[in-house]
Amino acid sequence: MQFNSIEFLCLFLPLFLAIYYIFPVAWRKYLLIFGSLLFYFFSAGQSAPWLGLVWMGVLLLITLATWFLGRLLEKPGRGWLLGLTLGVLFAALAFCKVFQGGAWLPPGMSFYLFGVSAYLIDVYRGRLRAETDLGSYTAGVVMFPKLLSGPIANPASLQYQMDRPRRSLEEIHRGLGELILGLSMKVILGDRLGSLWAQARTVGYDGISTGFAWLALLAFALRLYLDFWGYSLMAMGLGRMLGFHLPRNFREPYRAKSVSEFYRRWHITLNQWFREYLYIPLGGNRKGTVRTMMNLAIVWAATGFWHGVGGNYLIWAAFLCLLIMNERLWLGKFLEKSRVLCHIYTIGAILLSWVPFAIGDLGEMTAFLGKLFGLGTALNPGDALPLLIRYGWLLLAGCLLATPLPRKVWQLLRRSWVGDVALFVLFWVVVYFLATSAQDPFQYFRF
Amino acid sequence: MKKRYLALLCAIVITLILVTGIGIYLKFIVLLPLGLGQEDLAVALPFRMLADEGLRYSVRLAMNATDPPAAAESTAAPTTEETTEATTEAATETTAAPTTEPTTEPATEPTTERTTEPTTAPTTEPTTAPTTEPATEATTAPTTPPSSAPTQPPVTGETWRFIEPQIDFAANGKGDAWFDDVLFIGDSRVVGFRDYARTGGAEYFCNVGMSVFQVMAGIQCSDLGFEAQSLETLLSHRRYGKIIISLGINECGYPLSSFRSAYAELLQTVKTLQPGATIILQGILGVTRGYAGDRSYFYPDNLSRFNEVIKSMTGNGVYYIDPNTLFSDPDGYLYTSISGDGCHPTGKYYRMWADWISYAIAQLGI
Repeated sequence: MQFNSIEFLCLFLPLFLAIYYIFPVAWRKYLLIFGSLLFYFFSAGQSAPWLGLVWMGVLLLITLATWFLGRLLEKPGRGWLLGLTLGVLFAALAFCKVFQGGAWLPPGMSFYLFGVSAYLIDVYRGRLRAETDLGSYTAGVVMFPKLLSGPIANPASLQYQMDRPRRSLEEIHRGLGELILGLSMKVILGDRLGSLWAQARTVGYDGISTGFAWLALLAFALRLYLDFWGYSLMAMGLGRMLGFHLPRNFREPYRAKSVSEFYRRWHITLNQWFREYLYIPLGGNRKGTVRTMMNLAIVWAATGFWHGVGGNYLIWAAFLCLLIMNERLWLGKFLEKSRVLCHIYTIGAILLSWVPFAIGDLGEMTAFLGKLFGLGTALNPGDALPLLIRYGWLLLAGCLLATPLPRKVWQLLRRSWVGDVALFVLFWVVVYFLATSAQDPFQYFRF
Repeated sequence: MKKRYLALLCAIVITLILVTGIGIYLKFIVLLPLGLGQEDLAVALPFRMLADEGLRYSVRLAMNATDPPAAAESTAAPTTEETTEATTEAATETTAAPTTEPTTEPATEPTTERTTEPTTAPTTEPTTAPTTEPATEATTAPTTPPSSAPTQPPVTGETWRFIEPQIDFAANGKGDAWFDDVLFIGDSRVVGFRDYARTGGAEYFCNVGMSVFQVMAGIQCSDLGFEAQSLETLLSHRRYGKIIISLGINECGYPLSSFRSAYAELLQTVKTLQPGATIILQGILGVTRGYAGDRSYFYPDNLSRFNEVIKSMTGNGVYYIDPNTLFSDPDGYLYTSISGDGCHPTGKYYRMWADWISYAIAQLGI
């Protein structure tokens, strides 16, 4: 069950919220656990109910184990236990990702384990007190807004919030607004841009024209952004409606002036995790140029693997890593001086980097890359024009959403009833789209 | 301020309850008795009814079919069998575990034992429930073995490899000029012809997601030579020598009986408006194994039921050709290697398909 499914929006969420608001605040963590487990069961058991039960059991087991381990790790001098725990958890994660193409990876497990291990490490480091209350701990790690695809929340902040649940009409209203805006981005724009990208595959990368290839690539870039940012916004909104502040995952990444900056603005919680728990412990940039470059390579190799086992993700990560290294060593100085060139470079580099991210097969990947630069033959050289006519306004709207403008407009609108009317209309437009088109799951659920 | 917050919440909740109410009415009072809408959530149905003129048309069609005289007829005719099939199909789909490989079952040729004892199969082997549609084979013959395409050796038990046919279809076909007075009517597969394999001066009345229901409901399409208009308008104003109809993949989740009547109506309309035209009906091309997944309405045995219906309408200047002989493996699934999305051949294979149509028609001696 995804946030952008009719089942979730029109059935699960209204019923859950009604129950959640009716009962006293003190019960909320238990309601949250119950609702989240139910949500997980529906999500994981889509193909078979027994699978949902098994994965739910696994989730509960890991939660119970890490809660217990957290309490043990609070005592000093137990580094070996932390190492052992993390070793087992990440080995299991890696095994599940590799084994049978990830068929045995429970949904959302990558996100979940990253959150849990951050908690354990922070407790071991003494930055966080181990949670004594099993209920609070469980509610914090399994809460459904972030269970399947993040954001990977800072455990300390959630722990703090668990004891002080907020509830105000204003927060609920604001959360609802974020939920609807996220949904709209994903469903009204993202999904349909995704179908433009999918058409390139339908026709075959070796048959499309160069214009089609560029349109498709732009559509993929925008779709990924709107899809995942929309999802993250939904998660934030849902969290807020339940009384929790989840961290923001995107800060207008396409505004970035360099690839390094892009990844400080894109999927922020994941990149922060790698920074906090891998890059800095490795020594970060404090141990000389060579070590810094090595650390960057390690972090990016891990990021590539996190996204998927396919070799294409390694190509993607290696390409980005080389660009970032280059920026650190030479290019950065030039980029800082320019105002226009840095944007052209960044957007161009990011667009190209999405090619290996999007296409798993090496032959198809090179065929598509060739098409971008005019190699190969097009079956119908004029196939880009009808697409541009049909998808032009979607591409335009997507590009506009990559700028800070919509955010500023929304901040004005949301203070008046105009914003509310807009939200109401958007909600039903989204439901209309969901009801009348086939479902298209989030790209990021696979990870 | 607080009033405004409450207003939005209340507005959404109240409209949600209203829409759900309408949806429940539509689902349980209107659609389910007609064998439609089993897989839809009630809330979604008002929107689907609004948006899909094809659905509305098929509802009207099914309602007419349940009129007393037709109903009396159908008790003995195979229509009842089909409607019950449709419901049991949906039931098995929701209850059974679809993780069982749908890939192994269709490989075995439907045997006579299974067709004679349709009810026992699902109970004895509950794990294979989603794939067993025992009653379906009772009426239809298995897909004809490929005649023009060479037989391919299986790579593994479940994957077949596409080998390009040795016949030069274009050289042995009717030639491009034959297509000058052709009209194609069809779904996204015909959109592929239009965009990547325009032949001669042929015209294309097609749309992604097109169904016979939509055509009959008057959906409008345009092509290079004509503005957006309904098929009826188009056929009333132009003369075509040959009309090739290629529909059915979007209908395969509907009850077979509504498909049959809508298709017959379409054919009747075409015959009436273009009395001199040769009509060629194209069978429904399968999808890949992976694309079909656990959606049993995409399985070859279901599609061949639909193809049998199409085939049954031939005669008197109406012909049938089956593209599965070209692009489907011996199990009836589209070859994976020639498709990017699992449902359509990639662009370059449309050229081959168009040439094959030309060749297949030449073989028919038209």
